[in-house]
Amino acid sequence: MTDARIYGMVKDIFVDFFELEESRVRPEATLFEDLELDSLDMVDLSVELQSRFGFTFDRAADEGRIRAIRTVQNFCDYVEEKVKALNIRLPET
Amino acid sequence: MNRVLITGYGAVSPYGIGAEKLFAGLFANRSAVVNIRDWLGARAPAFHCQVAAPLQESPDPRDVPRTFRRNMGPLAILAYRSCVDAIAHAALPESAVGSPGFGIVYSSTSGSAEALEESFRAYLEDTLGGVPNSGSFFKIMSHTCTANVAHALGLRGIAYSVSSACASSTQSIGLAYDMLRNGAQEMILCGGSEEMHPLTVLIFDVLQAASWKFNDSPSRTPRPFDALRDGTVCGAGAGALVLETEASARRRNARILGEIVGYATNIDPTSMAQSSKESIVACLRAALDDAGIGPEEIDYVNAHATATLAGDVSEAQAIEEVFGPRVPLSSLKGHMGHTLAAAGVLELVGSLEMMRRGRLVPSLNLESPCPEAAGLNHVPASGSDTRVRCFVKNSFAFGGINAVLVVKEFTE
Repeated sequence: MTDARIYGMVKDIFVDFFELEESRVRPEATLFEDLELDSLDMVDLSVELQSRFGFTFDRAADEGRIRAIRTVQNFCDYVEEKVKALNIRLPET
Repeated sequence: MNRVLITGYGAVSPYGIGAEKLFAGLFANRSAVVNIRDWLGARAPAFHCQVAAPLQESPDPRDVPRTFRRNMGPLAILAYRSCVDAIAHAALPESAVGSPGFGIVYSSTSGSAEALEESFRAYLEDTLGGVPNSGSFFKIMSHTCTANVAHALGLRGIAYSVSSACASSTQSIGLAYDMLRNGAQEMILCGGSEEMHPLTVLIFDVLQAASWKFNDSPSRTPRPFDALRDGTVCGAGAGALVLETEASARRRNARILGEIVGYATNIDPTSMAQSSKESIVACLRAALDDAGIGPEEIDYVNAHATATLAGDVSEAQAIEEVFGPRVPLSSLKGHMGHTLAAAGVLELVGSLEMMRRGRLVPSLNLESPCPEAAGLNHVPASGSDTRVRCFVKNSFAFGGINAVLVVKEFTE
């Protein structure tokens, strides 16, 4: 179960930046098929990670891990791992 | 050779969105020029030139689906809106737009300056990994308008991007005309877009080509052919035409707005800053030859005349040499400034409406012609009722590019 703050912040990326209806952004939704994102959106996802969490996709260290991301939940899990590993302080809600 | 017809247009001008707003401003002789503070507010730079013709109304970027919008700077959004409106005006079905015979030849002076500024800021300040987002390159690339419009509309035909500063859209229409008459395509969207960045104004300022003596009375400048002219005023806008072969237009019973019957373009290698009279004369004569008509058949010349000191003189002398003192002429720069890459197409759309109404619009702010233009037949300040069967549209650009189109009312 992802930290609610992280899930909320990730959901905000999909809703605010990618302009997706909130109801579509479910944990099991696949990024490419269900949410219709593409490879360019992945670039922007990385930029949004930087701006909201302070880190980006680390292609060198996490290549396999990033490739395995299929769903919103997979993505949240990755973000949570990085937040813990990098000891990132999340904004208080 | 195919006949090439104009069957639709779209316009975003300093007057606002839509050709009707363009016509309302032009035929009312209303100036769209404002003080630069009304455009940029406190960010207005301290250039000599403090006047501009920004958009009084901008398209809502949210009208473009995000998938396409993410790759568009203001430049491409303006281009998109002009093309969507042109397609609607031409009453084209979706099936025609996506056919291999439907192409695009669109133009701009450069890629989006705003996106370029954002990218360089990110790069130089080393923020966000040096890149603002995935769409940066697609906004900056010089074919941003052509590619983005083609993607957003699902075009599948030939796609060219023309870039020749102030002659851009006239050259794009000319290239489209050549392709259609030679049978390379059945329909082509063509035109140009200009988003206008403060840097554009600065460049004209540095080149001493921008007006600065009327900063406190913006509506009095630019002043094409006038003795008191002191330079041009940069403006923003976008325009598009739907051109199609006669066979295509007849097949779908299209409304025909005019026919392009001649086109010529050349370059004057003697100066980067302005075209010589001789090169303009050569271009005008080549366009008339291409149309197979004599100068006496031209009822109106829509001049480029940006109100620079040297440019207006060269053009005035060239027009007098080719047409003599008889032909009525005017420039629309006094109304909406110089919209650069969009100027040719917006002024052509304005001229089409003059032909339709039988009513010529004068050169706004022309009060007393300069000596070199005093012998010409300027449209009087109140306008004039004139039957126009055939007109010439001039465009010239930094770099020495000249482009001239000859447009006729359609007859069987």
